Amino acid sequence: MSFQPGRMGVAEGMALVFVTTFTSIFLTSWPLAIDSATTATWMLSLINGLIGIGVLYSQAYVLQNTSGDLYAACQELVGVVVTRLIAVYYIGIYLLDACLLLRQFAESTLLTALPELSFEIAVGWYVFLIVLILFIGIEAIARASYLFLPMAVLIVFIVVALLTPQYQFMYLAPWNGPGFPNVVMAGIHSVGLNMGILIPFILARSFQNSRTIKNSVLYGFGLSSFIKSLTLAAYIAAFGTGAAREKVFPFYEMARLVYINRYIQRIESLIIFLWAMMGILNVAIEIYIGLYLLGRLFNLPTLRPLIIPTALILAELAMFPGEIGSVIAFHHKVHWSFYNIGIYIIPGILFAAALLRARRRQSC
Amino acid sequence: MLSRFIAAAVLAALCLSLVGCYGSKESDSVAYVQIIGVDVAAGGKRKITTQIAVPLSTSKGGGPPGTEEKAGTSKRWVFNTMLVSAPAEEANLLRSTMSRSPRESHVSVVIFSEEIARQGLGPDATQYIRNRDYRETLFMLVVTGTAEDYMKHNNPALESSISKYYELFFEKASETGTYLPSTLHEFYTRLKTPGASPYAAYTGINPMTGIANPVDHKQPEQKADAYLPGGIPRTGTENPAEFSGLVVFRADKMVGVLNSYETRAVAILQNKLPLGYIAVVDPLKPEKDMINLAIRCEYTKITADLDGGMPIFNAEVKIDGDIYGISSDINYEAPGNREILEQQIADFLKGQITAMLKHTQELGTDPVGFGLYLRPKFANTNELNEANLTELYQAADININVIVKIRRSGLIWRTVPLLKE
Amino acid sequence: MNIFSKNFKAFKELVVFQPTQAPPPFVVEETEKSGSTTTQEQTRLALEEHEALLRYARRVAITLEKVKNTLAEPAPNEKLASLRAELDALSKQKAHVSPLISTYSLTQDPLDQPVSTSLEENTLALEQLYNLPYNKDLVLRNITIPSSIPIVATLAFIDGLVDNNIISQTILEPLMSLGRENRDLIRGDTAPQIAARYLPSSQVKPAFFLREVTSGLNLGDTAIFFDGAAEALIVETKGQEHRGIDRPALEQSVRGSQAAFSETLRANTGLIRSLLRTNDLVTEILTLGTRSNTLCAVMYLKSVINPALVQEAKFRINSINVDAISESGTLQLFIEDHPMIPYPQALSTERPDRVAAALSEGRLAILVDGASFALVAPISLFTLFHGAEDFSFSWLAASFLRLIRLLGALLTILLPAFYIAINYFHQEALPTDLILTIGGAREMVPFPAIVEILSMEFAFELVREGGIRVPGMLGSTIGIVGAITLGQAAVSAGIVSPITVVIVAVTGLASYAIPDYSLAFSIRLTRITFEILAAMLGLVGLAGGLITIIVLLCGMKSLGVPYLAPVGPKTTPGYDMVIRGPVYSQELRPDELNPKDRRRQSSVARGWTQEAPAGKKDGS
Repeated sequence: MSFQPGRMGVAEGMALVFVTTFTSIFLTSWPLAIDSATTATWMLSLINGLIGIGVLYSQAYVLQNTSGDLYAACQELVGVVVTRLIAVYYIGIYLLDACLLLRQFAESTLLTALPELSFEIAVGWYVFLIVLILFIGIEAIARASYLFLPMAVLIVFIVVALLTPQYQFMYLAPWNGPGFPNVVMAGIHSVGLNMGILIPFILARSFQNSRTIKNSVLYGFGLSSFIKSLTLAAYIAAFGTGAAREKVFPFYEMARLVYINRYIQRIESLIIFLWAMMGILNVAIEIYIGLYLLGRLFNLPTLRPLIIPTALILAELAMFPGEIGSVIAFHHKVHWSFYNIGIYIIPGILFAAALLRARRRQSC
Repeated sequence: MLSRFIAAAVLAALCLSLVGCYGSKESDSVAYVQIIGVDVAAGGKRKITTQIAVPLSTSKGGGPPGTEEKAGTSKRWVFNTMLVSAPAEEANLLRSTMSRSPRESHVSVVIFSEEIARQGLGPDATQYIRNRDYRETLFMLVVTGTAEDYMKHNNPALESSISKYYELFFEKASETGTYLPSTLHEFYTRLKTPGASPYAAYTGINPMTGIANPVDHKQPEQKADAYLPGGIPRTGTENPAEFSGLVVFRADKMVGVLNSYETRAVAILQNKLPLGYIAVVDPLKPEKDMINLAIRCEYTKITADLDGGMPIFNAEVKIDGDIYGISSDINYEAPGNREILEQQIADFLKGQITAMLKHTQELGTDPVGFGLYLRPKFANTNELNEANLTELYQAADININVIVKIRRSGLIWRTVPLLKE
Repeated sequence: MNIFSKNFKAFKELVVFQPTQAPPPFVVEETEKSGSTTTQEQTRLALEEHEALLRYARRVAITLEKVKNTLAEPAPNEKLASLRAELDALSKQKAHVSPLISTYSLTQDPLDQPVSTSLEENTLALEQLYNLPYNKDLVLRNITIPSSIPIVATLAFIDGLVDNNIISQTILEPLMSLGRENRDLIRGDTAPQIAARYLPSSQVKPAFFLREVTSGLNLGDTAIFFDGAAEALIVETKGQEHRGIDRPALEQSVRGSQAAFSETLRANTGLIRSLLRTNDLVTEILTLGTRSNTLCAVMYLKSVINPALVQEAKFRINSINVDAISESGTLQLFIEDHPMIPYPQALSTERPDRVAAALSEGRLAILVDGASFALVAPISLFTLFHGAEDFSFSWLAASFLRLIRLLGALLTILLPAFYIAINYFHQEALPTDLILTIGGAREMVPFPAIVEILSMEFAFELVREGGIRVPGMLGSTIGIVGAITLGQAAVSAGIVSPITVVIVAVTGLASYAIPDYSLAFSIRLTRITFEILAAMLGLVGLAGGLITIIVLLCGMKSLGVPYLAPVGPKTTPGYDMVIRGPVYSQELRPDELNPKDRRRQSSVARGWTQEAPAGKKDGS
């Protein structure tokens, strides 16, 4: 298939996973999560990380015992019809997520950077850029993401460090939030925020070998979980659970709050770079994954002609909801429910099937 | 291929040109609001005063020739006071009265009058949080009298920009402790999350008559006086504005004022006093002699215990001292004498802290944030939300332990008595 | 297959877009670690030995035939003498071949072979060492020296390093044309006799091993092999081209060599060979242009470079069908991977030392006759930030210089765009005093900020372009004076604000910190695009521009090697890309080139650190 990118290594895979799982820190998902885990919200990201590692090893097992990528493994293990259903589900999820993210990033542009811009142009600008970089290819996108990864980590660390005078660590108490079992439940529910961990498995054919895939998910998701957790702890320590629940863009608010002295302040405009680029990369990657699965599903010879129509449809859909509040609430709802099917149930079925097959083979 | 490439590029450029330059503003078509003052007016209205920077004056010699003289003579800022019933009206009216488009992104201070603070700042202060133009880091002040008056009389000679004046003022708050920097962020956070009560810096205009108006209450060890804004006896040509004391709130309503010494007690308990100056009565010659010291709060340890619903707080304060003036000829540097002096200072500071605590417990406000130390004592956030931290603070038993160590004695290491005739 | 699926297939073929079949782009594959090479080497050596024996056998057969023919009828004395000489040579060759087989060792370097008595053997050995027929540098010339018994000899020398006049005068003339004199060369002692009696050269020395021969050749001497003699004569013929070697005009450096390429192809290849005197260096000559027939040299180190690169480069050059190419820059445009992207995909340099350094890293160089710039490919973006003097400075100084250059590039791309974005959209990002100063300075200016910046940029470009065209020494003076007076005048006339002049001047200065001219140019184009984006969408526009350019650069290839190589994709770092490590720690060649030989120096490059100082070896 001509849309197969070249060989990607750990660095690229890590960047793909990091970008797609990290951008939630710029958006409202986490202030919403504070509702369920209050002062212990920073633990959610760590719990997500642990569950993610479980998913990683189960899927690595599936890939080791089958040939090729997740799609091929599905076909091998559960048959063509179920595979198609699963593919449709994942296409839906990735494109839906791309659409919702597009809307939220366009809104955040309006809210934070260019308040007088018209909304259509903000969406149009993002779609234009996304189409442009999608035409260059997933390999280049992954490499660019890898270039951004240290930059993003550095900027996050700088902001967290510069906020030191504003922290009131007592706002993180009581340490177990609404009670430890509740926190763990919330952690289990919120894994849907990290659909990105499946990307290397879907694109498995483009990676060098199964160890590359395993390592890229491990490092990429580990890093993003850790930094998200750190940022969330800093966010709650700086704002308290009360004000923290209100904010639309947690990281932007953190950057705004930096005040060291007369000279080191007013840095939030420079953060625009970070979230705008991460947002564009994230949406582009998710659209690519959606299209890739579409290509596999219909056995298409190439993806390129699909890029522009898909992007346009997504843009139109993104402009559909009347107001941003409902988009945020809807995104939160699907994160905590619908997405979890893709994290728990489908990989679980595949793992069970692979395990069963291996056992049957052994007994033979 | 080439023609397609060019066509795509041209189309993209055309599409982009649709953007135009929406929302772009030339820097010379914008007026930067620097300070906002809010007063109450009759009929529930607000009187809002904006202080707007005049850019030319700040760029001396920047423009083409001929502008310099103008720069020297013109004003550094202008005021615009309007009676409005809503902030939106103010934004509207500001645009009706000014040629340039006003931008609030450089607002550095919001000033409230005492009257409005007593009515409750919630509705007025919190609306700034939502607007992206205002940063949460902006300073929040409460003035004696009206904000409009205060702003018009506050005319610093040293600073070319009024924002710089306030920023420098709060930067050096750590050198005295008699007033505290207060930001909108801290105020708002304390309003929304249980733990501590909000406060704001207290400021006012001095009549410049030289008449002292100190706070009555005085401890036996105390030599100097505590003041509230407007009470400092001074004359001269420096700016009449002065900062002293702290306005304390219960929820969003101002319930009282802490004087400059009480404010310093808050600073000590918050461990935010890198430098302060005190004068105590000479413990061995209490009639007229005194000792001047620079003190530094080395650490403050607060522990809390929720013993059957009755909170007990223990605060251990460690103070470092540096003598910089002894009026008597007693050798306080010597061991033996030094302990006496240390005890004197410890008693003095403990007295101040206890007085402040008693005052705030009566007012029902917790500016230090003792409640924060109670948070880990709750099993989970539901229990925390059910409890009322302010009431717990009011009922609490607070033990203060002040340890003072004289570390240095300035450039003299022992005092030799004066020759008797 | 039922009717439904048949119809579905037909429908799909009708509807689904079929991409045009384009050949896949060339990408350098990662080299897989192959198993043991020793067995291959063994068979190769054994094969060679067998061939040597075969050749000897053939020669024996021919000589026997000759002897039979000569002895069949009464022969004159001369004929008999020549027959004897031939038989002598044969016996010598046999003496030569048999110990060679007996002492035959697997690890023997071909350079350690002794000079054979057989001309054929020697020629073959040289051809193998110098990679003939690809390498056009080594010239082999067969002559016959007239004598009572004519002696067949072969001359070997390297074009570009020798002076052809000296060869004609001191070797060819005395040996060939002066043959009317009745020379009688005693058999068995040919070489010393010729050296003593017939070679009027200042230095002639015998060589017994191929190592001596090649080192002489690499220095520009000529080697003469005589049939039947187990030694060669190395005759001094050094005559490197000096003419036209100027100081570099564009790539001046504080340290390092001060030689630059000239317009003569062979002189240029000679310059490179004079820096890399090894038989590994291959110069392949190709012809370009159906009408101009320009010569073009592809140079590389055979034992280092990835063969796929050479193959691809030659393939691309050979496939060019154009009537005339006169410049290496034009050739570059014909062979580069992405003609639509203005970023240079090959390094064009006028310094032989840079080419030599690149060749030793495993890159290849392309030289065009008549062009004084060599192309080096494949490169990565960061190579373009290397300066010639980096290689002779301490690693700290060199890394600092490179970081300064990278910062200069970032500054020149972003600074004006940043100013415009902040001035128009994000006034909150600056300290209050600064934004008031900027606003105040713009108070009297009648144009919008973007017009100010663009017009000043335009003026700056004019000054730069004008400075190039103004003849001689005046150029740089006019450039500086023009820029200063123009800026000053524009400010005092109230056309632009002083801050704009500062920004444009800093940007212009920073752009000169970029060592590569064409890179500086593409960065300038990027900058103007960014300025317009910033004027339209502020920092959001700038972020969009930045991400597009970065993804674009990440997707680029230079001769099949990723353009942002050591970082995107990440490869094993080599400490000579962005940061230059200490010279002794640069043990490996760049990973992304996948060279045949990754190691360029042993892990302990400074042997003296491992041993006692030279004077104290004995422990005294």
